[in-house]
Amino acid sequence: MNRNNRFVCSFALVVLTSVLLASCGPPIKNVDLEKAQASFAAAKMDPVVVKNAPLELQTAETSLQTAERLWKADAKPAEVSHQAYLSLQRTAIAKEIANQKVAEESVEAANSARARVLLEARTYEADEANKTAELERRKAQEQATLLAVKTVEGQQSAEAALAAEARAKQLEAEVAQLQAIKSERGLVITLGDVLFDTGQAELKGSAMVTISKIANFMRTYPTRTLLVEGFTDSRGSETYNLDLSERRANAVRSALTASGVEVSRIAVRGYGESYPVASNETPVGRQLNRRVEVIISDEEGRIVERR
Amino acid sequence: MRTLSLLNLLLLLLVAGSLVGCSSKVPPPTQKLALSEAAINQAEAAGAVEFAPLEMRSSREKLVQAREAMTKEENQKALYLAEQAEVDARLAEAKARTAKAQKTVDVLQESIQTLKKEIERKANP
Repeated sequence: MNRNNRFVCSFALVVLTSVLLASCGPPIKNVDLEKAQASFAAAKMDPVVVKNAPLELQTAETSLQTAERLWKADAKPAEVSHQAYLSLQRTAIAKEIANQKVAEESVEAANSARARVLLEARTYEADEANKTAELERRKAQEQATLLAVKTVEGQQSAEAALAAEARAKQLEAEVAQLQAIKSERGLVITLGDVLFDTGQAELKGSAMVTISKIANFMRTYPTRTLLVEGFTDSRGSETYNLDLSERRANAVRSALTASGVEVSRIAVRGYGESYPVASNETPVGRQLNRRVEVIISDEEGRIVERR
Repeated sequence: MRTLSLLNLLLLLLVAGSLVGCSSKVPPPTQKLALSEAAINQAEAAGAVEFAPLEMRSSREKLVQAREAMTKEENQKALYLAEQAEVDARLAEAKARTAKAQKTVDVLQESIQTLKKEIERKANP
């Protein structure tokens, strides 16, 4: 064989060997690829991963398919392993993304739950605060009502006191006008002898002023009563004097009733010579003794009896 | 003599073939390296150093090796290492995010429990 022939034969042999080597049986087992395939298969079966990380899972699948293609085409183990590694890591990433999304959903749910609990707490607190406020309001209202009542009562007492004072003053004034004398028996108005003619029991017109004043007073104070007492001096008989004094007292009563005082409010007494107020020895004294006393009772209509 | 020469030739061709299949056709993967570095930084920012230390270390080591390979013009090797560094960094980042989210869930659940106890305490003094 010459050189050229030898060369051609060697070359052919190499090519044949290569071809034989290349298509010799199934591809060599690659552990990394198998690991990547197993990992991906597991992830693909997990519904959580499929739902939450579909894109990342797709990327992992693409890498895996590349690795498988290379492997079937008998690529170098280093190349297949590299692609398998990429697929493996990308599958892991897909799982992490899925976990992340689940955690984020939990965060959202937890936030909602927390907001709900806070709202419950605040509502509860608000309700409690409202109840307390309501109680306070009621208490305050009660107190205010009490206070108002007390104030009104106070006012009424004050008003009553003022009114009483006013009435007392008015009474004083009227009493003063009546020229009545305050005695332990009541208010005493003395109608003097000049109001009657000598020995007569007819009341003169000049007495009407006093009578009217008394009548007005009795109208103002309707609860009071009158006692009309007649007196004479010591001249003449006791019987005569008793009679005269009684008649004069009656005359005064008639005048009073004529002026509007109810007859039931007027009592009449004749005392004759008894109870002189001055000495009967002098004319002045005797004149003084000749009198009619009108006694006005207290508010309850009481007149203390003569002792 | 012939067989020996034939075998030699065969071996030579195989070696040549493997050499041919090697780095010289792959350009230097500078873009991929930059991408991987960016991925590592992103993972760091997400707190991956704390929550996924293994993946982070692996990623950084591979990046270093990729750079070394590139200086030696072993571009295919550099590319593989860079790709792996990137995917490791992305996994580290994902793990860090999950860990943080889970922590948030735990904190929230605890806070809800505390709140509930507070309310109970107030309602039943």
